[in-house]
Amino acid sequence: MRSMTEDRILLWKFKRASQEALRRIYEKYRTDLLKLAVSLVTDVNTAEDVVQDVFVSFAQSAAQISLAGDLKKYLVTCVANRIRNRRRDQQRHEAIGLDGTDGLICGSRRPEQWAILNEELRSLSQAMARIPYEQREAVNLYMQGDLTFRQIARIQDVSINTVQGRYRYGIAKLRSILNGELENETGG
Amino acid sequence: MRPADDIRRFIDKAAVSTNPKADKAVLDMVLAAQEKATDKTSAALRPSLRSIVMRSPITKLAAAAVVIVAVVLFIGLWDKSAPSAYALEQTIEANQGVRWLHIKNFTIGHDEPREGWVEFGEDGQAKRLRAHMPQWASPVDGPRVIVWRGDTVQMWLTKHNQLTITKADIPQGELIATLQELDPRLVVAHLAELQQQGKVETVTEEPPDKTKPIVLTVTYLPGSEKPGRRQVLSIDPETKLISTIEVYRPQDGQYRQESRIELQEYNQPIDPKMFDLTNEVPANAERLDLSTTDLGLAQGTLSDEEVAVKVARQFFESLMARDYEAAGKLIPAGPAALKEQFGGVKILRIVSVGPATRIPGSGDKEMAVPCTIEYEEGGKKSSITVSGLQVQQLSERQNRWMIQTLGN
Repeated sequence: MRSMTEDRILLWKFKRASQEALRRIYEKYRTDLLKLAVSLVTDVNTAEDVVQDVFVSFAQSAAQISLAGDLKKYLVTCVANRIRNRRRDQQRHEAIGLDGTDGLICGSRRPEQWAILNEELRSLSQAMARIPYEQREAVNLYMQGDLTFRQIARIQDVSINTVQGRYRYGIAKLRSILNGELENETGG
Repeated sequence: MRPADDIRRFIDKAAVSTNPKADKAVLDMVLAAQEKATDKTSAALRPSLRSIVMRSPITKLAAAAVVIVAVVLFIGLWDKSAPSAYALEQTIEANQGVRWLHIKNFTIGHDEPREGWVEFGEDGQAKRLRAHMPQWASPVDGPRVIVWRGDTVQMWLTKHNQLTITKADIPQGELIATLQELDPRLVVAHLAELQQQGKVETVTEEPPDKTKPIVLTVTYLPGSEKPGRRQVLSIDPETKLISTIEVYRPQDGQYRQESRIELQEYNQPIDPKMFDLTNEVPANAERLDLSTTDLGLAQGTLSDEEVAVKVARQFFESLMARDYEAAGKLIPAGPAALKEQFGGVKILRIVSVGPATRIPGSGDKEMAVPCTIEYEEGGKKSSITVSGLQVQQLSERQNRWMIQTLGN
């Protein structure tokens, strides 16, 4: 279970340049962030790049990070923002005929696949890919990131009502997609 | 059952694990990024006990001292090894009359320099000093201004808008120790020794055009303490004072510049207001005057182990009582920072403190004190073990002890 007190102490130490604290933060949240990123971008390699970049940026920004606040939500928001930026860059590239250009600049590639997904996550990721991004983001940030609708509204720059609507539609579509898959698998 | 519950259950079952090899590769990258951001040159500025409360002012003093020493150091070097029309004694004599000096220390890769203003007494010793440290040189707590006034040290953390005033007698001890290592007479003697041993090579270029600076290049030879390192000094041909020192380090067969120190405004009197931050910081700045406060706990008759445990226990007791003023005297953080950090946590019980053990290689006066506390947060009770809490002797003369860090 996540301990906010532990996070506060970790942040305290991290701001004082503790490598051990950063190591602990990494170990504590990397799988949560990978799962979230896979759910949002539905591509494992991109998800890995996003999470890697988030951790690298986090490591470089001890001075800017406030001691107050929720560490997990901070990291979750970093992942969401980075993915949004990447999507925006990709759309810009596509608009000027640079299809296929990766908008994400990942500092360095890992030697091999980092994230290993179980079957449920593969199914979830595939289902997520079939719903609009804004709905996908609302569902994942609320359910996986523990963000409030208000916090998601701030990220998406829309009203809380809009976020709640996106969340409801997203849930309904996901349920329909996942039920359909289950029925197909069982021959139903 | 609601659709959301179905989806949540499905999401809960979805899981990711990580490949240990890739995991380590990413972690190494992350840690390297942290190390790079922190910058080794600013390691001494990390807000440990020494840096926040004491060492930072000293570091700046030491930095200034290094420059001053470097000036004399190279003068000495040239005198011994590079006879030319330019006479070392001319600079030594000119340097003796310096009362005020403005120093800019540029590190390659950073636009903003570290900057200092020094006032010397008639005895040639630093009397007052002001230093500006930019964000890059102080990545943890942000830009800071430090003034050493002999009796007190003032430090203004601009990002936190916090002015801290501490007794100067504590850092002065370290200052003296630092100056002993950097005393120009000692350093010059050392260099003379190096020169006699043939460990440095110097080249003097004195242009015929007397408006152009005299340039002296000093190269440390193999077997010296800094083999391959090179320093290039420019000297004003008229005043015989050093105007710049450029530092180079060999890399891939070439000399790469590391820094450039500019020595400016020789003997231009510095406004005394520059050496007092109390009227300079914003009126709404948090002021933490520790100059009349004894930081840490006096050791008395306690053993090192006993006083370390007592400090740690008293710190958590203060947090438990929400007495952040008292807690702030035991750790290098102001009451406001402690309240921000621990205000949302209700400490219920100190389960255990200690035993304290000496930290190897720390000079015997740093102790590790493991602590376990029980707390309540968000209506839930839990406990946590703070491993690696370190308590150290604050001042040998005062024999007081304080928490250095909650762990590394």
